[in-house]
Amino acid sequence: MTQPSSVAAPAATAAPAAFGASWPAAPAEAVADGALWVETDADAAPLLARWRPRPHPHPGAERCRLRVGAPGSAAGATVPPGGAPSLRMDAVRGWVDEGRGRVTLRGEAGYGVLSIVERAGWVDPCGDPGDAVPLLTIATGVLLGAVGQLLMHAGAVVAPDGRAWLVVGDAWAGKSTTVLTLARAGWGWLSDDTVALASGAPGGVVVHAWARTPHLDVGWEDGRVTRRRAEVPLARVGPGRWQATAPLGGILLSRVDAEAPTALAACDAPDAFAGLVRQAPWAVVSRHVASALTLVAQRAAMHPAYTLRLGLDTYGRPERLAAVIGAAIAAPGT
Amino acid sequence: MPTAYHAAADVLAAPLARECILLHVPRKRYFRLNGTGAAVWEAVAAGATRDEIVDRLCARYPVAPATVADGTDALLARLLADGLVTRSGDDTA
Repeated sequence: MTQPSSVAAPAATAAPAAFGASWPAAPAEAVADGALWVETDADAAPLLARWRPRPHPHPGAERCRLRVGAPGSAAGATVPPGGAPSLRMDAVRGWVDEGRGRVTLRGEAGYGVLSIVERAGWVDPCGDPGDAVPLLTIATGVLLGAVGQLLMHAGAVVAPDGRAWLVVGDAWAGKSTTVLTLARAGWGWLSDDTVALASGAPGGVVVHAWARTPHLDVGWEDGRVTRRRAEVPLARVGPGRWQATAPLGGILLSRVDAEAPTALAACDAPDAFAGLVRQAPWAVVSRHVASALTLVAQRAAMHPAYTLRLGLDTYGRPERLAAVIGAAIAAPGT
Repeated sequence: MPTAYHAAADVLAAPLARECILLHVPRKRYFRLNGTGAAVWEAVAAGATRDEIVDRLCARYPVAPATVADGTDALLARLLADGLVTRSGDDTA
């Protein structure tokens, strides 16, 4: 990787003198399962619309904090260090200071600093909509990681037995379509795009929803492929089927192969592990979080896992998709 | 002094079924070890010497000792080259 020209040169890294207590009062809300408390300046609030998840109905105790908006006296102090960034998402790059347990973020206009050690941070999109979502996503991934939760790019459905199945894959791998089609068939659902995993009962994993308004091909309900995406009102998905949390039942690594019939095939734990970590690049950004998050991913990968090849034969056909997936996951080892 | 191998400080191991995934945190790279590789790693994590690792594998797998030794040396060299283990107890450490 080469150093982006927009962040070249500066050698020193500065950060706000203190997190948390010194922040001015601002509207706040709990997200994820309540582990993350977000305070937002009025100016930055509109930029959170695409990122903000559905509120958790029973938030637990706050364990990490994120401020969104101008950081006050520390504004302008986020000089990124030299060298290649440790992670990047769209235009946002992050540099890790392992010694201080800090991550410095810089986008086209926005920036931020996260303290893994203090489990707190701030980001300021500086009015740039393109920077807002990646800044917030990286910040959330790092801060939730500091409290042992693995934020990842994956959907999750709830099978009739009450267990959550992750739907993992890159963009356009059929995650949203699978989640919402199964919801139409009567399954529960947590999220079509983002979830957080945490260690649960001995050996178990709990899946927390990070649910936002889904975006799908406009022809998803009647089996047409238009390649135009639009928001899907939650009322259309299946009112009452959304859940905030569920124990993990297994993993589906999805991909689309329109010409082939939809089918599942068992995959082994290392492949499942690799599939999970691929969708959570912040999990390995620092040794301060990597140990705990690797353990969560390891636990998750020990659950049943399948590759899910999605064909057009189940597109827009909820009962058929539910039958194919339901039959496979009910017969472990197939 | 016999050559001993140790897991590098910045490496995390995730045993999965009979295999093992190694994560080199600074380089953000994952490595996958098969069953015998996982057995070698288990011995490395316990601070075993090269000869102790070979002995453990010979006791575990019905394979000629020379074959086990060659395979062990090859894997240790690869782990060393990728920064996943450190070596002590000889002049080349």
